[in-house]
Amino acid sequence: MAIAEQEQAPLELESGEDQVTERPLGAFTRPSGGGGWRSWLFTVDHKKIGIMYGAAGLLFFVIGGIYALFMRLQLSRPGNSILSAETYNQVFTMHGVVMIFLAAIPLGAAFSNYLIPLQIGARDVAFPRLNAFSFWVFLGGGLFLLTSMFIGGWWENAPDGGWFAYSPNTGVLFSPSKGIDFFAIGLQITGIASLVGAINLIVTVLNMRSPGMTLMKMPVLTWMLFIVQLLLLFAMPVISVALFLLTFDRLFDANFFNVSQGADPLLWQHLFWIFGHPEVYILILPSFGVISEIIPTFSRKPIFGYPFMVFSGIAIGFMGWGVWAHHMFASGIGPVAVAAFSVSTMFIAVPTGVKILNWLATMWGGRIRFTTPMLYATSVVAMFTIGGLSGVTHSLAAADTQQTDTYYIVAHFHYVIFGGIILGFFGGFYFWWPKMFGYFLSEKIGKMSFWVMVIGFNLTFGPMHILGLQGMSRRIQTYSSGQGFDFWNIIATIGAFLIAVATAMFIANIIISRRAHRAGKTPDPGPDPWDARSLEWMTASPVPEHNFDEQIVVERQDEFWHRKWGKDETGRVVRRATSEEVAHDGSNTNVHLPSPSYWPLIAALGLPIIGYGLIYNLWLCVVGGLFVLGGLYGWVFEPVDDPNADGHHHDEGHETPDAPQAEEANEDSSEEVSVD
Amino acid sequence: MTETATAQTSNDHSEDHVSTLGVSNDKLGMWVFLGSDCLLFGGLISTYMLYKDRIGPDDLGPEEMFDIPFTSVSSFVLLMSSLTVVLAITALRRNDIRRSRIWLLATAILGAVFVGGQVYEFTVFYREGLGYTTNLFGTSFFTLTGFHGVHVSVGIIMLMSMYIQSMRGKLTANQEEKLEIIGLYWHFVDVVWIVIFTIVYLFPQ
Amino acid sequence: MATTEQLAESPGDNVSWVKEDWIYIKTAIILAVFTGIEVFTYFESVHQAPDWLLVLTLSFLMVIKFFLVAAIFMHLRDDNAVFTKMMVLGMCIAWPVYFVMAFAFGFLPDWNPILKVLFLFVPPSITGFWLGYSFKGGTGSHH
Repeated sequence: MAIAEQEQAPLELESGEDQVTERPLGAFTRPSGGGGWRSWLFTVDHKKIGIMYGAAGLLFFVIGGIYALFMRLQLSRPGNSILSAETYNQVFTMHGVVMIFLAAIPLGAAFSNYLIPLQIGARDVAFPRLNAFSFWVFLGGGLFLLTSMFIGGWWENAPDGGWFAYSPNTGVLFSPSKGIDFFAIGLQITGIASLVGAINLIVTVLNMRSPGMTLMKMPVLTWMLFIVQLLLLFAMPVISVALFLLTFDRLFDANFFNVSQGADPLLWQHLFWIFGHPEVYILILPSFGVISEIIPTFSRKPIFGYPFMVFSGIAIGFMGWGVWAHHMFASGIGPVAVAAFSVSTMFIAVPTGVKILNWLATMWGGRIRFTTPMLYATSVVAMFTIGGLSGVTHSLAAADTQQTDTYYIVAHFHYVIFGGIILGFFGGFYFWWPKMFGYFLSEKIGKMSFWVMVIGFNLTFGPMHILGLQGMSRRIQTYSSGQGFDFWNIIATIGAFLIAVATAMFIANIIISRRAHRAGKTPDPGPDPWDARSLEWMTASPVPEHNFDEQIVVERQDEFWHRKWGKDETGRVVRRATSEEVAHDGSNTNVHLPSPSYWPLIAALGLPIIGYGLIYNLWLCVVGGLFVLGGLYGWVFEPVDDPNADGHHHDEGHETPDAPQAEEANEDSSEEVSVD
Repeated sequence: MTETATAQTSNDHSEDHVSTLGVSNDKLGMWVFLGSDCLLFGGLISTYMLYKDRIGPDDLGPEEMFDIPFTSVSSFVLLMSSLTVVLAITALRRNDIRRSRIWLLATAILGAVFVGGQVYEFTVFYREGLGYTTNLFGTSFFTLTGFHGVHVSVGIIMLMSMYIQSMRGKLTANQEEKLEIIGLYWHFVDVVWIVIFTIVYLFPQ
Repeated sequence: MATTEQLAESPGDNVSWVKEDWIYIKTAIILAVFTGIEVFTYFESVHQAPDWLLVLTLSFLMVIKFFLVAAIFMHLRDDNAVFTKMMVLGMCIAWPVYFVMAFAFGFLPDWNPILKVLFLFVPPSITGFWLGYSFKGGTGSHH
C-alpha cells in the first residue's frame, strides 16, 4: 500500500518544477499542474482534454485522408497498379476505421468535452480524472490500430475486412494476417474510451448544471451531445460483444462465426449494425448541434422551434435503434424484416427533416452574416439534405438491392458524413476558435478554403452517384476501361485532392492567424466576438482554467443573449449591456479545482500493451494488466482533490505560498484512527 | 484533528459542487454504467440462446451437461451474498465498523465460493468432453458464464480492497457511499445471474 | 433507508440491527423461497408440464426476483428516480432490439406477427409510461 501512503507527501516537493522527473515510479507525488507539456500530459481540465481530442482527431483525419488520396490515385484511371489488391483492401479498411472511430467520434468528443461544461455553466465534468483516462485510452487505442500498418512488415498486418468486418471473411481462414486482431482489439480499446466518456458526460449533464439550467433551457448543442452520449452508452456494449466474439474466434478458436459448426455469420451483421446505426447518429448529431448554435448566432434570431429541435433529436436517438437492418437488405433476412425496417427507415427521415426545416426557418427573415462558420453551417444544411435524400432512396428495399455495394452507397454516406459532419465540425472550429485559443482564424483564408473544400467535396462524391448507378462496385481495387467509369473517376480524384488542399489551407490558417495575432496585427476577440447566445461566451477568451468567475444563475434559454439584449417600451429589441459588461473577465483565482493526476495516463497505457500481448505474447498481457491495476489502485486511493493543495486555483506558473500549513494537515490525516 | 476532518471531507469532490439532482455523481455514474451493462449481457444472452441448440445430434448439449442441483446451490450462495453486502452497508451507516467488516468479508467469501463453483463446473464439463471449442453450445455457454464470472471476480477484488482498507483502519462511516456503490455493482451482478440461471439453466431445453 | 433516528442508535446492540435490517432479511428469505420454487420445476413430476407453462412461471418468478433485488437491495424504491430511469432506459432499449434480432433469426416461428410486435413494444412502453408517470420531478432542477 505504498501508493496510498505516498499521496500524503509534503507539499514543497509539489511546487518545484523538476520533481516529476526525479521521483521513481510508484513513489512520485502528485503532479502540480505547472506549465509546458506536463500540464497537458497530466491534466484533468475538460478544456485541455477537449483540445487534445480535437488535435488527435484532426491528426487522424489527415492520416485517414492520406489513405483516401492513395485510393483515389489508384482509381484515377483504369487498370492502375499503384496499390496491389491486398494493400488496397487494407487501405480502404483503414480509411473507414480511422475516419469513423479515430476522427469523427473524437472530433465530436472534442466539442462535447470542451463545450458541455461551459454551456451548462459548470466548473468541470463530473469525473475529471475519468475524462483524462478516456482521452488517453482513445489515443492509445488509435495508435495501436495505426501500428498495424508497419508491425510485421509494411502493410502486411493492417485490417483488411472493411470497416464493418463482415464475418466469415474476418475469420482466420479468410484473413490470416493479424489485421483483424488489430481491428477487433483496437476498436475494443477505443470503445472503452467512448463508454467511459459517455458515462462521465451523462452524469455531468444530469447533475452538474448551474442553478436554473433546466433540461429544456440547455442549448441545442448540449442537448444533441447529451443524446449522443446516451447513444454511445447503449451502443458501445453491443459492439463490445461483437468484437469479443470475433476476438475469441480468432485468438482462442471459438466457433461464433464458424460456419462449419453451424454458426450464423448474420449474427455479426446484426450485432455490428445494432451498434452501427446508432453510431451513424453518434456521428451526425454533434454536427447538428454545432450548426444549431452557429445558425441562430449569425441569423441574429433564436433557434426556430427549440422544443421541436430537442424532441426531434430525442426521436432520432430512439428511432436510430430500430433501423439497423436496412444495412442488411441484401443479406436475406426475410420479407417481413425487410418490410419492417424499410418502413422504419422512411420514418426516421421525418425528425431529420424537422431539423432541416427549423434551420431554414431560423435563417428566414434573419439578418444573416455570412462569416466562415455560417458558410459551413449553411453548406451542411444543403449537403446533408442531398445525402439524406439519397438515404431515403435506400430505404426502398427494391432499389437498395440494386444500389447496395456500389459507389452510390459510397456517395450517399460521404454526403452525410463529410457533407454533414466534417463540414459542420470545420464550421465549429472557425466559430469556437477565438473562444478556445483567444485569436480569430483568418476569415479570408477561411472563406477561400471553404469554397475549395465544398467544390472539391462535390467533385469527389457527386460523380460517385453516377458511377454507382452505372454499376461500379465499391471495394474493388481497379476497373477496366470501356465501361464508362473513366471520366467520372478522374474527376473524383481531382476533387479529392482539392479537399486535401482545403485541409492544408485550414492548417496553414491556424499557423498564419496565430502568428498574426502574436504580432499584434489582428484584434483580440474579446469574450463574445460573434454576439452569441450561450453561456460559453460569458467568460474570457481563451477560457480560464476555472471557466466562470462565479456561479451563473440561469433564468431563460439563451441566458447570455438576454443579459445583453432586451426590449424597450415600444417592443424593439435593444442592447442593454455590452458583452464585456456581462461576461466574466476570468480574474477570479480563488476557485477550487480538481488536481492533475498521473494515474489515468498510467492505467490507460496498460490497454494497448494488453492488446499487443493478446496478439503476440500472452505474457505482455500481464505487464499491461499490472499497468491497468496499478493505475486504477493509485487512482482510487488518491483523493480527487489533492489534500496537499491549498484549495485555491492558481494560474500556471504561480508558486504555492502556504505550504507548511498544508503539510501539517497531511501528517494528521495519515494518522487517522479507526473507530473500531 | 479538525484539519483532518477537512481533508477527509474534501475527498468527496462531488459534494463541493453543484448537484442538480441532489444525488452523488459517483452513484449516478455507477447506475449509468449498469444501464449500459444491460446491453452487454443482453447481447451475450441472445448469442447463447441463438446458438445453444445448434449442435450435432450426438454432441454434448445443455440437456446432458447441466447439473441443476449443484448450480442451484451456487445460485443460492450468490443470492445470499447480496444480503450480506446490504448488511455491511447498513452496519457501516450505523458506524458499526466491526459488523460491517464481518459482512464485507462474508460477501467476498460467498462470491469466491460462487466463482469456485463455476470453475468446478467448467472443469467437470471439460472432463466430460465439452471444451471451449467443441461446439457452438460450448463456445457460447463458456463465454456467457465466463463474462459473468469475470464480473463477479472484479466485484470480489473491489470488496477485498475495501476489506484491506478496513484492516488498516480506513473503513469509516464516511466511506459508506463507496461501499454502497460497490454494493450496487454486486447486486447488479446478482440480478444478471438471476436472469442467466432462469433462462440458461432452468428453462426447458 | 436510514433515518436520523436509526443513525443515532448504539452500534453494538445485537437486537437492533436485526430489527432495522429486517426488511433486507425478509427480502432475502422471499428470494430464497422463489429460487426454491424455480428449482422445484426441474424435478420430474413438475417437469412434465407443458413448456409454455414452465417458461411462463419461471419468467414470472425471475421478473419478481429481479425487481425485488433492484427495488429493495439496490434501494431504487426510495432513491432518486433518475437511477431507475437510467437502468430502465437500458433495459427498454435492450428488450426490443435483441428480440427483433431473435425474431430475425426465427425465434418463435409460430407467433403471429402482430403478437410479436406487441411482445416487442408493450413491455418497454408500459415500463416507460409507468416511470414517466410515477416519478415526475426526476430530471428537473433540484434548486
